[in-house]
Amino acid sequence: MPETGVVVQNGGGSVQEVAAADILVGIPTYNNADTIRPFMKAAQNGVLQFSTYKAVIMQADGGSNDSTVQSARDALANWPNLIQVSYPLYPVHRLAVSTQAWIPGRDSAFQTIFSTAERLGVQACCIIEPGIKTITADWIGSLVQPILESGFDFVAPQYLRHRYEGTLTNGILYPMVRALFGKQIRQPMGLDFGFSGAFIRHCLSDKTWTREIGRHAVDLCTTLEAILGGFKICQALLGPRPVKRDQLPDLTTILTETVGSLFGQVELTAEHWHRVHGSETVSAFGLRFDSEPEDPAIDVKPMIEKFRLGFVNLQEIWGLILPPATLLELKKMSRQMDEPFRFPDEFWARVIYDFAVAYRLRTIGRDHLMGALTPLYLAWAASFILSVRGLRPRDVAGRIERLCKTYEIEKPYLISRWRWPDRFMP
Amino acid sequence: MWEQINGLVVQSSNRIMSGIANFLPGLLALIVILLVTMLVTGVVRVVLRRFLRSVDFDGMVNRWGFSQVAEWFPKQSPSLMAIRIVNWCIVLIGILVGINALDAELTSRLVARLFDYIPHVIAAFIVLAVGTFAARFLARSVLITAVNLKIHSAKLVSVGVKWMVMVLSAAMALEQLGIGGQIVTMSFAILFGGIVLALALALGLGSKDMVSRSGEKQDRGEHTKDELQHL
Repeated sequence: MPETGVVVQNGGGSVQEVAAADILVGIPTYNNADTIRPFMKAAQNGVLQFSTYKAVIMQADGGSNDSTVQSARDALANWPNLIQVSYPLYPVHRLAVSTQAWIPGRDSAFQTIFSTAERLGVQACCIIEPGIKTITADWIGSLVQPILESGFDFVAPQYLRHRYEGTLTNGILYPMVRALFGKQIRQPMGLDFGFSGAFIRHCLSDKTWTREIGRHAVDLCTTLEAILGGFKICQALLGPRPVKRDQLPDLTTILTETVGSLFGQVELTAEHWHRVHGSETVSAFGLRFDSEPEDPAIDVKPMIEKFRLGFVNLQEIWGLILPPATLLELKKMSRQMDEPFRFPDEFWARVIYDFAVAYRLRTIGRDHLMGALTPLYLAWAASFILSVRGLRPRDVAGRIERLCKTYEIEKPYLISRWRWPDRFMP
Repeated sequence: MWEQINGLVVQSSNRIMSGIANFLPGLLALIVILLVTMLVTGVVRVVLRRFLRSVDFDGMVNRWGFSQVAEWFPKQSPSLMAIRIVNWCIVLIGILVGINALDAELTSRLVARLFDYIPHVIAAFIVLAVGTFAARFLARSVLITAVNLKIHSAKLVSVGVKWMVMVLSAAMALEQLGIGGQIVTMSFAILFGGIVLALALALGLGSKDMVSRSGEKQDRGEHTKDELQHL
């Protein structure tokens, strides 16, 4: 296990000095000098709301080469409950081109924060990632309060997003996690989470992050760990969380790290999800936002063109993964005009399930598999954008709900293909 | 004099008869060995066919990702190919044993030369197999990447890469087998150089506008990233 609790320079406290705490706010950082100061202030204001508890803020730095560490220390000058540590980064983290490019080695950061939380014997811990200035003190409360006051073990984030934002979450991650694992967690792969002490001890004993999937998607791993471990789960409404666009990797890398990780988890937990039927709602606490963020204008034409190009060139590869009926449907879709372009939900759900089966069987290389999924995902995203354009927010939510229901209805198809991949090929 | 002639004829006849008598058992042995070989071949064929069918060898080859390679096999059946390879090996061994029954010296020379050549055949086979696998993998990588980069001639580029690797591995295999000598190497160098030059010219001329457009976009500071936020 990597060494933790390495005190960075002077100032701040060490784990030994702090000795014990009730709440730990973990902030993994990496070159966040521009946003860390207001972020730390907001975190401090957040923990000060819990005056009856001893709260500690922990900055876990991934080796920033700007003034992130100094700025964080200056922001909370003379505050004794700040711990600054550096978490270990291994060559595999340094080499990785990650979707979470701004925090290298997130699994290592999580592990360091969890280990510290365990040593301090905290009741509640939350992890919030910097990179934005919009965090308010309420975020800490939203993530920690359900654990302290309502006995929840895991708090998943729920962000306020415009209708076109998070298409990957809406189209694959949320519906698939919901259909397979039976919990309606809106953001299975978020950036900010709350954990109880019991859940942290469970994760540390389970060594979730030592697996490759944990390295790619530690957030998804912890979410699924909470579901599989039968922990009490809720969601925290946190408001908008814009992402730094200039740091995002290409789409295939995003798919490999998110959908690939989910498929990996699906493979590991087949025994569990085969027994799950339907899904149940997960309570949501926190801030209420009435207004929807402004929708940007998205041009779907390039996305549809990429799908058509994929259909012309990748049929042979798709033929190894998808059954003939789906290929026929894709052929029909490739002939549709741009404006009425639609990807039927039942075929989309089946496509994702077929790719999950192909991932398990290693029908083609896994990187190739995600590359082959990219044009199909873009086709679905284009279809989704066209279908929700002009709808009211409530109707957009209804559209996503319908897709999730379709994933649930098509689950027997996945089970059949999973059990008899060669025999069951409609 | 007649006695001398008679004696020579008798001696000659005796030599021929004894030669035939010496050769005949070997010939009979050869025929018997060939018949046994054919019998063994038939039995092995039936047993092997049943075994390969029971383990679904054709399906296995497909699952291992050699579906395209299977197209090169007779009737596109890898198991038929495997049966034929085993049969021909048995026939070859039978012929060698049969010739040995006729003339041991000839066989030992033949076997020695054959065994000298076998490492080259194995090396050539490995080079071809690795080349085929690499060609397939690279072709698929290039195809998927090109499609995701929205390159319209993705398939052409992919096929080009595939055949370049195939031709390279075939040239290496032929060199291992000692077929063609320097001609193969030279032909390959000329062909490969020609292909690279043609590709460079095609790319340079074809993508001139694309590169200049991309440069202009960068100069203007236009946002070229994917505008959709996926996560």
